[in-house]
Amino acid sequence: MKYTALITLGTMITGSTLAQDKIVIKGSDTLGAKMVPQLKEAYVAAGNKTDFEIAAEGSSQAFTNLIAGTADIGMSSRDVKEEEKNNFIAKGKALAEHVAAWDMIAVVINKDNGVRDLSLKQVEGIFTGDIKNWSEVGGKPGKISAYTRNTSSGTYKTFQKMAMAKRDYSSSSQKMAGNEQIAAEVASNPNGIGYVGLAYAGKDGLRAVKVDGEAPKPRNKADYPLSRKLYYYTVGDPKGEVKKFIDWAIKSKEAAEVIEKVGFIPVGE
Amino acid sequence: MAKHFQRKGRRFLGVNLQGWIRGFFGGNAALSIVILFLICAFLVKEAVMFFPQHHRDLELYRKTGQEYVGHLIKEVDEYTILVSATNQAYYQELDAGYGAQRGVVDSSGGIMDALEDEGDDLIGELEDALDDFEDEPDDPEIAAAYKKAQEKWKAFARETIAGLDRKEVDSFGRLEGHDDQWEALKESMVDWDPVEGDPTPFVAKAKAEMAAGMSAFDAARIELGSAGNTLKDLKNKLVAEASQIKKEAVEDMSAAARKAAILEGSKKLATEEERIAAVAEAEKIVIRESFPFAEKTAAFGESFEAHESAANELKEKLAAAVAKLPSDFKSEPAAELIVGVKERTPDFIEKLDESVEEASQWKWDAPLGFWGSTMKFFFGRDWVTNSSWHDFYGLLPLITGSLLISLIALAVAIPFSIGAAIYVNRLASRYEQTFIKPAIEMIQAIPSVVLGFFGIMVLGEGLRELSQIGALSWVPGFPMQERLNILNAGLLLALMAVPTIFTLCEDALNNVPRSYSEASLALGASKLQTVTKVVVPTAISGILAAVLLGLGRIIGETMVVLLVAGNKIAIPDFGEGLGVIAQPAHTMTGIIAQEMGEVSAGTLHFRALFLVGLVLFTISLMINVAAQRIIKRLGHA
Repeated sequence: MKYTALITLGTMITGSTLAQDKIVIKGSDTLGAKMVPQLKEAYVAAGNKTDFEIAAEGSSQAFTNLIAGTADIGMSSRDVKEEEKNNFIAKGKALAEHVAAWDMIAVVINKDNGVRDLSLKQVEGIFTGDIKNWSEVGGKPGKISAYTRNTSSGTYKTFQKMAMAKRDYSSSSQKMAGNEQIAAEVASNPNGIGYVGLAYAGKDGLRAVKVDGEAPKPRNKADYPLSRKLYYYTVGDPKGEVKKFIDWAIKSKEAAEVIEKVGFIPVGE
Repeated sequence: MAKHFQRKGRRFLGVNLQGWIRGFFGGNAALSIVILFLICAFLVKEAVMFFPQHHRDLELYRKTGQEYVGHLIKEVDEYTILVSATNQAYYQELDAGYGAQRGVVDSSGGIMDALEDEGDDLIGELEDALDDFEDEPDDPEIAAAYKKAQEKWKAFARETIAGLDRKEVDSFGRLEGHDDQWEALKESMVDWDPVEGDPTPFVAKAKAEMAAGMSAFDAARIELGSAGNTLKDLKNKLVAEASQIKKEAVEDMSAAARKAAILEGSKKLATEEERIAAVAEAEKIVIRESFPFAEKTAAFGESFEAHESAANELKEKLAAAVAKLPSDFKSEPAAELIVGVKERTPDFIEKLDESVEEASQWKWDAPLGFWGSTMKFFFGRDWVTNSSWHDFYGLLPLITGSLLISLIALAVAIPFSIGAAIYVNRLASRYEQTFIKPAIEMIQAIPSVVLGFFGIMVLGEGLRELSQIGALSWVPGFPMQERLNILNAGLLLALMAVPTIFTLCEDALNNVPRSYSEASLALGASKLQTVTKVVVPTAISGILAAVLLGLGRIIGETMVVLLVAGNKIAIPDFGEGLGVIAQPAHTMTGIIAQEMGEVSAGTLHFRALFLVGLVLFTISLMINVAAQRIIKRLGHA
């Protein structure tokens, strides 16, 4: 919170002088950790003289900052909630939505685990604790260790919505700070299972299972049960530098390459 | 010196330099006390405000009927444990009795997938040829083309199957040691008809053998698994209803404010269209005097009967299914699991009756005691936040985790640090002293986040690998599945506590008057006797205080436990005896660090975390006070 306050203060001071050539982007850490910073670099490398400020503190921050006028673009790994939309109306602002890319949540297991395919129902059972042992889903006997993101992560909620019928996580699930940690624990525990962004699914020692028969591959983005859209939000239709950047980030070939490199799926594909 | 200042006699605002310096130090002391006081006051204020808010939250939980539905959720969860155990037993028995057959069936699926994936085009050709052939079966040219397509497919299938990775296809290794079956399966899959997709005779035979051998168990298992369907359906229906009521009730609380805000904001909108849309949006919000809980939750009162009959149906069907479970097993674990299911079933039925009875006592407007809601925090067994159903704030899992980890840390740290202190203070040579003491105190300089990484990458991995060694399986908790667990965190915290305990302990030993030990030695006691009989008993109060302060250090440590304890928010399963140390756990410090970032100020969750902080603060304070008391009471050391 202090951090936000500092940034807010910072933008208040610098914002007035740099107003137009600086784009402030805030919100989801799914987008803000790798994708947007690398897009920025590619954008600048392509000869655009724009300054960027990127802060990734969670999707909710996208909307609070947009409302406060402390961000030009909000990044979000979920679509805007009804009450957030109302907040904008209450301030007399309209919110414009742009699909930035697709993300897939891969369900990963240890590479020594023979399970190749899980139904969505089984995934739900495993993470809610109804299914406790690998033998129940066709594997070798072994107590399942389920690793999840912690409660502040947008993916925690998204996964709950997409894979668990909104039911609560089992109390025996272990809350990890990030994708990297989940990947590391699953890779070291033969009975582990977790979920990570597609970019992490290919790490050593992991195997991404098929869900309902669909492998988490870019071409399956519409069919794979655990895929979602990532968004940019702006107040009103974007103008000037912001519009130029968003158009480039969504439509250009260079941007698509960057998006693919960090493990997401470009919209165009 | 003082005279010097006075002679100079320079005064500013009527105070001389000495007075200013005095004031500066005094002011610093006063300021830190004021800040400490403010911190305490803030902590206590936020924490204490948790209780009324929590009370209202639990009241809402009752009024919306979620409390009632909560009983059903628990019932279904308990039932699911039985289902899960039965399924585990079934599959283990299947593996023990028909592992090869299961391997054949599984692997045939893998081979089919591979063939379908790679031979997509060929299957298309084959289908076309078959269509033509079925249209005109007498045309020799078409028949020949069909035959050719079939042969082409077969050649492709043979080649593809030959190139398959056996480990990939038989991913569970069920065909290991059954090479003949594997070869036979491959041979049979060449003749597999991808258009029809039916299993080959060889696979069908394996399937039939499996089905025949396991049919009784399978039937009983499925019967057991479906015994609770009515209750589950009822639960799902009521969960949806209660969630909806809660959503409406929460929205209702802020309805007036939201409506006003939207109407206010709509004036600022740019176009007329947007304004009209916003006003229409605002008009949709209904403002009520009070939320009609009685009317909304009437359905729950009426569902008591349905609940009871669903529970009865579950009881009958479950008992019948359990009776049908086999009692002869090839697999030892399966036998154990089924014995467990049979033993637990009467308990479950009893609990179910109690739960149904308790649920039927639910009334939306029954008063909720303040004491009860307070105890729900201190003795609540669930800590669930950011839930789509209801957030629970129960301290018990966190406090047990903290205490368990601290106990292990103390148990390890005490002998090491006291032993080291005695050795350095009484027995070591001067050279050893100059080396050991700084070395131990160096540990304190390691940042805890570094220790945390060490705990994950080195200690955790090392312990886990060590625990896999068969000869060590007698150690409680071995073999360990998790590398992040209570033991790992305890060991690291022990390492962090050693310097504290060691230093204070050594001080205490130092404070033992020289005359004591000299007198002891003069009376003919050996060095060791002097230490155990004279020095340590004299310094015992200081040693105890050192241990307590070490405990204070351990219980307040955050980074290490957050990284290494495994973050499982559940009371550890003490059923495993000492093996409990291999389980993951969560701690009071860890939960604050993990969840503080996401909560907005003033919410129930925010205050709950503050209250956890206050509990932690109180514990630390008590430990420190106890340490000081011990020093005062017991002695001079």
